[in-house]
Amino acid sequence: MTRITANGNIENKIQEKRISRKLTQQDLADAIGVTRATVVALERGAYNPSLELAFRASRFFDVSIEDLFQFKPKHQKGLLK
Amino acid sequence: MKKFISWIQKYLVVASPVVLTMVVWSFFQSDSEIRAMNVPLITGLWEVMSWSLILWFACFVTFMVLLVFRKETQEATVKLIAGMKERDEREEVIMGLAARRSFVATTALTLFLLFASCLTLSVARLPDQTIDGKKSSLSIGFHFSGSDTGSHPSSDGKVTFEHHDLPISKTGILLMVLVWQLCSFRMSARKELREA
Repeated sequence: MTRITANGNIENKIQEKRISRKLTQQDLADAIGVTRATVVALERGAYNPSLELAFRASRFFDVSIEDLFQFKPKHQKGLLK
Repeated sequence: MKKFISWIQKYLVVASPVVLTMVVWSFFQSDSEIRAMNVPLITGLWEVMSWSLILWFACFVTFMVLLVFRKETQEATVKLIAGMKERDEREEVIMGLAARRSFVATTALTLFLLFASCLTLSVARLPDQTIDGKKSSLSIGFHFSGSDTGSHPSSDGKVTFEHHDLPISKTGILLMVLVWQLCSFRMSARKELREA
């Protein structure tokens, strides 16, 4: 599968939060101003959102960005700890 | 300005059948033949179609200039070519990736065409003299010319195989590159959209 702009280093809890709020993917897509396909890609981890979209999603769920998105680098090379 | 551009785009699409009809018609009858028929209806129709063609051509040139310089026209055309509406940032990313792939694919094709057009290859039999006991010669080289003069370096002796320049017309090459670029862009965009 092609992962556009996603390298597997960022995980998110979008699906978990959406289900806990009993929202459909379309509801979430409408709320944060994207298409349903983008919500699907976000939940599958196939797409890393822009900073703006990440903020929109975290504000919608009323959580911080760090609560919604976790940076878990698979390759530590070149990263400052 | 927007209305004018919109009118140009609409006219280009709407008048296309007329232009195509005129092109096909001109294959069978020349302008002088049609005028010599002296049938007012046909001559009048031909006249109207001729003016439509002139207007269509003027619109086409204007549209091409807009396509080069106007950002909004570029964006709208790209969306039309890719068959995608760019509804959100993910689709914008996909379009960018498709454009990058299309650029590389077209550059590769153009480089290949440039290489093939410069390459000269010739296999010849040398009738009277032999070089180190061999009676044939193979020459490979490059011939670059800024203009199409039609002259190419020739081998001595009886040529059995010769390649120089591309066996496609200039129009054919331009059409091939255009179709290649449009297809590669559209296919890349579709593939990315399907898989991502």
